[in-house]
Amino acid sequence: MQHLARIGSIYSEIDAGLERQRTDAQARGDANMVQRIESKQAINDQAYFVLCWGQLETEIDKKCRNAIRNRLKNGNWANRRAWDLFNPDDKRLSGLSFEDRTALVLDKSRGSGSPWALVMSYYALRNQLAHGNLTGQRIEVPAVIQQFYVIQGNLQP
Amino acid sequence: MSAQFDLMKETQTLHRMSLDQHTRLATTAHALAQIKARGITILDIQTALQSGTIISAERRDKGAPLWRVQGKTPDGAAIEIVVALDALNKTLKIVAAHYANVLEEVTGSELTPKLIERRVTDWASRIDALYKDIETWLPIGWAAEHSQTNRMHEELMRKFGIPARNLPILTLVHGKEIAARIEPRGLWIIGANGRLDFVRGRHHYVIVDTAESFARPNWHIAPLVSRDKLRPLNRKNFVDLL
Repeated sequence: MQHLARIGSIYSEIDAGLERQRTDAQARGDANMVQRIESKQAINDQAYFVLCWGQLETEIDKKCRNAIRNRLKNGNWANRRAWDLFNPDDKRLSGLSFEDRTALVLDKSRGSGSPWALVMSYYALRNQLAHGNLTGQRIEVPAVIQQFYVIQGNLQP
Repeated sequence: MSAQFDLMKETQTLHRMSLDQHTRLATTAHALAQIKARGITILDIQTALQSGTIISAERRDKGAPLWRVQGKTPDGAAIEIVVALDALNKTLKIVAAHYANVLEEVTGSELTPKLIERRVTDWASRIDALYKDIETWLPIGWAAEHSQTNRMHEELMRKFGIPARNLPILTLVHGKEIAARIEPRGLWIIGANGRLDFVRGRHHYVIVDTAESFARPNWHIAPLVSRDKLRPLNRKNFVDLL
């Protein structure tokens, strides 16, 4: 996630600029302008969320490939045979879905609030946004970035 | 480990037991306090156990299973319950229970108007309680006013036909001058359980609740331009910013 901190910093800069415009419009009593700026902020949140998501997805992909490589080194075929199904150098990782890739590096049975559940909820949001269904909700991008770092710390290679 | 259990069979056992009128529902003291603080009712728990799904199970010391159940309350809120089975005494013992967070609500599909209304009411109560705390923190020479409001009518409220609501703005007066204001900005914010803004001259801070839905609030504050630098919102940190 080498670009995540930089993305977060640029987001904060842009959102603070929009917030200044909003504060000025509010001080002038221009409710329409306040609404327009809030709408821009919500869209900006979503654009940056998708950028941040890309960083997490790449990290999960990388950890998943490492997990497969590590287990393919196991000399005991009984331990290795299930892993032989996957080619860590295949661009599409032998057709593994994102959910399956995540399940190889996070415990999916840990329930609500676990890193797995967080990834899946954020994945649902990412799909919603990336497929054109923008939301009116704000996204607290810096808080999401912090959660992405927590998820990163929990990925099991 | 869940691998020792057939979760489908365990879920059937849970449903059978929770629908049986002879089954006793008990709670640990810790869970009871947690449930009360989060506004979860016995009906919420019963409904979720009767139709929910066991997502993981593990064996406790004496061999009895501990189930993690995901279900819905009667008004559609997603809830997770940790329950211990005591088959010998026909008892389901609730060990923990909590609601989903904003992210799960927004990406989930079973929201109801009743739940949205409850969330709005809870948000208004949290704001009132926060303002009361802040008023007690104000140093000598400072005073608070509640004469202004702002209108809350978020996307989910509009979608479910919930009417707009006016929320109070807290204006802080120093001497005779208006020196700062705190205003609610939004409840359904992904990554936080609501946000307020605190503006003091050219300094702008965000106040966010980092707790889960309906949980006891856990307020934090950070400068708008560096929102990753969250600090707990308490008397000392607040007075430092005045």
